[in-house]
Amino acid sequence: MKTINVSHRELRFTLGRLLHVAGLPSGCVYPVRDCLLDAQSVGIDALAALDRTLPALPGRLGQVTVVDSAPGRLTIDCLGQPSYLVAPAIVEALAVTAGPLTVEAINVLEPALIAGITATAYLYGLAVSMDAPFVCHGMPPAGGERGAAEVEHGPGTAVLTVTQSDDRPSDVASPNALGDAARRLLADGAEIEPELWWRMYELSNEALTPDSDSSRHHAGASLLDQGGKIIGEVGEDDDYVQAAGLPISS
Amino acid sequence: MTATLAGSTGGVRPARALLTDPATLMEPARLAALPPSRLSASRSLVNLMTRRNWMFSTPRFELDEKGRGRAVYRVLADGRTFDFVVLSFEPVLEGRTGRIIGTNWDMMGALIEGEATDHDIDQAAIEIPKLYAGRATPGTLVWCRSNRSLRLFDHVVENLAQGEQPDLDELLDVGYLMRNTGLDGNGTFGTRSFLDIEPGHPLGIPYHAQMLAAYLMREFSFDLVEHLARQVNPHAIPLSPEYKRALGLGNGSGLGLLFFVNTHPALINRWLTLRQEAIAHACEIAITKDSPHAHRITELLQRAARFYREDPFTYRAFEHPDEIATGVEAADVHLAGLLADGEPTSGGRLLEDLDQQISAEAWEVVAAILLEIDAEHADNALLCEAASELLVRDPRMTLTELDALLRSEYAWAIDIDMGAPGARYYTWYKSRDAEEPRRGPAQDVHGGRNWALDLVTDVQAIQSEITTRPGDQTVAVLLAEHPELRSSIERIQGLQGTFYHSPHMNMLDAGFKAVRIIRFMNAAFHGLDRTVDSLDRNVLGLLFQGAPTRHDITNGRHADWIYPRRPDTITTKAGQ
Repeated sequence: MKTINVSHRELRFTLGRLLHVAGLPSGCVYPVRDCLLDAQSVGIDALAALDRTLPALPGRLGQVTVVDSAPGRLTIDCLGQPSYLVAPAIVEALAVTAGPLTVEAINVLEPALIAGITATAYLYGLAVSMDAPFVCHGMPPAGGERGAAEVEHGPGTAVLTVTQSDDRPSDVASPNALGDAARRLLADGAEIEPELWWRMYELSNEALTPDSDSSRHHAGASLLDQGGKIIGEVGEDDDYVQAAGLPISS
Repeated sequence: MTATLAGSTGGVRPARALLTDPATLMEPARLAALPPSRLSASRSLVNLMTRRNWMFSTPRFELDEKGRGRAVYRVLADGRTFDFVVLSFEPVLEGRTGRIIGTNWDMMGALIEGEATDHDIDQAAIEIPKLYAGRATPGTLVWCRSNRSLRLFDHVVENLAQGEQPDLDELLDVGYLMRNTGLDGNGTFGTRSFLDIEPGHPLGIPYHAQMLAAYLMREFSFDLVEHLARQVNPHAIPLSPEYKRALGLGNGSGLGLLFFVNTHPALINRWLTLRQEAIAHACEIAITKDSPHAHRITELLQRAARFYREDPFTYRAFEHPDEIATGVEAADVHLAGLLADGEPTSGGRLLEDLDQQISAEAWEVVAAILLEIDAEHADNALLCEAASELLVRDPRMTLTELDALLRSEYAWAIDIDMGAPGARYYTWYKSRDAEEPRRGPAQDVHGGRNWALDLVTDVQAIQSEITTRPGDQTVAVLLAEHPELRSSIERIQGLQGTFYHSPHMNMLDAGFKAVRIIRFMNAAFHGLDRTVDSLDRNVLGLLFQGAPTRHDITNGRHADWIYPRRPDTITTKAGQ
């Protein structure tokens, strides 16, 4: 299949804007976006998963309920929301629960994306693994079509094994603190099916503001004709104005 | 002013505190006062190129009589090759603007690792004009664009064609032949991600790749005027090297730099920390009468004073250059006084004495100059500049601890009254037209999101929520119920213990001066001189004014270039 290579930065921007478009409050967007990137970094097509689950957003903004907590065991009800949306709350639940744990995230859409947590758990002093193949009840049968059918199949379950880790970096801002998966994504980018990429890219632009004469005045100055109609933009550059000898409006 | 200084016995606050107090430094007005320094990206790149003897060549220069065609500039840097591919066009006024919403540029370029193949060049020619729909070829570090100065470019061509150098006043009143209209890298358009650059890479310091592209655009501007002059007259003379050095690359920056600062808190914090600590380190160096350090500081103070006196530009939101020059001259006089009694003094003592005695911009020029006597330490600091922007929450933190964190690190935000008239005047947004950053009165902006970083509201919302809850409750519990607070708590916790990540500003306020932050990035971070504000949205400036040309660097000349003097006027025709 022909793919387009998209950089980490481009994917990050587009995912973030899509989450805005999907109605998430600004305060929710970055951590959820980063969970999608984490999933992509471990080889999961996060953009396709987001595409499939957009109708489920904003859901309950990723709120979860711990339904069973016993020594060494935690069960989290994801309330039927997409996995990337609830992943930040799951990480927080793991971080505050001491000791080795087996965690069941139940009632979650696209449970495979929970695997993104395995790439960044070290930042929270945790080591997390997810059995392969992922224990995700509700996934389509092996070799089956992926896509809308997966969502139609309904929420599933992901099972995580959690232990404490000493790998937490002392200087998180240092590039050395980046994990291997994040490094791979930075180095190699993501291979994405072009139709999907450009369709989602176009959709993400709905987070931006439509252009208008009024809005053009909100950046550089505009070049006007004698009737006051915008015929060009001046920006930070007054060369054009001087050369053209035309009035400007800021 | 000097009379006050002569009687000074040292300031009330120690130099380190003056340099590092975040309550002072992170005020937008103070950030705007930070001038270019040895740690600015453009200056540090030139210093690196000079120190490491980078070599330049031009394996291709295939332009027609209108300046249309292609060129390749090759850089040999520490055993590696970088090619800068230039695509040159005849200016077309329609759709021509420095703004990203423009559709025509006079020059486009790509900085590529390794020797560019014909395929690379062809692909660049196809892809760069597409901008956001374009894809850079593998190994591309930067895409860039620039326009000729319509005020100056033709004047220079015509004079060179007539065998004369251009008028020096006209040259300096503009300051550039071509103006940068876009430097995109770090993953944009598929360029290489900066954090993927391996340790020891020649362009491993943040923004050196972009600055190298900018430097080569300046070089291309010299070659282009000479090429076009030769099309008019095969005996046209070259632009004098002194005049070339006096020219920079023009640059105009707008509101996008506000978004950059907001989304790169770790980088901003790290760079400012390194900068201020490096100056504090230089402040400790003993300076004695007639020592090399004393001579160097004195020389640079005098050069800087002259540089500001000769500034031909008009500033609206920033200090008048004469005021800066006066303050720097006062610093020179005061240093001479400190040294006169034969006892050692220090840059720290100088800064302490000058505090509140000269203008903020003048004081910061003196501070930046001190880095020049501690060059190796300052240059090494930049090796630690890169930052990943990873921000990590601490779900175990109690709300009492979070409240204490807010009170200690965000008191400035807590104190702002967001209910005051005008406190929520602006909406910051990005246009669907080329994603141009814009800012307008909230009632005039329809559709899309407000992309402002509203730290003040975020901090106050968290604090308000904390007050309703038990202090021993964890952040995890708070976020489980209020996931809409997660981004701001992540930022606050992830940056805990660092102090220079966020300007102390309410960027929604009707009175907020965006140009202060733009200038901070342009002057202090990127190293532009002559940073002039326009429309409270844009800052114009010059990159590499006074810097050695590529021939100078290849030949090891003119390495000491900061605060360049006005060159002598050349009135005779070449060869006469």
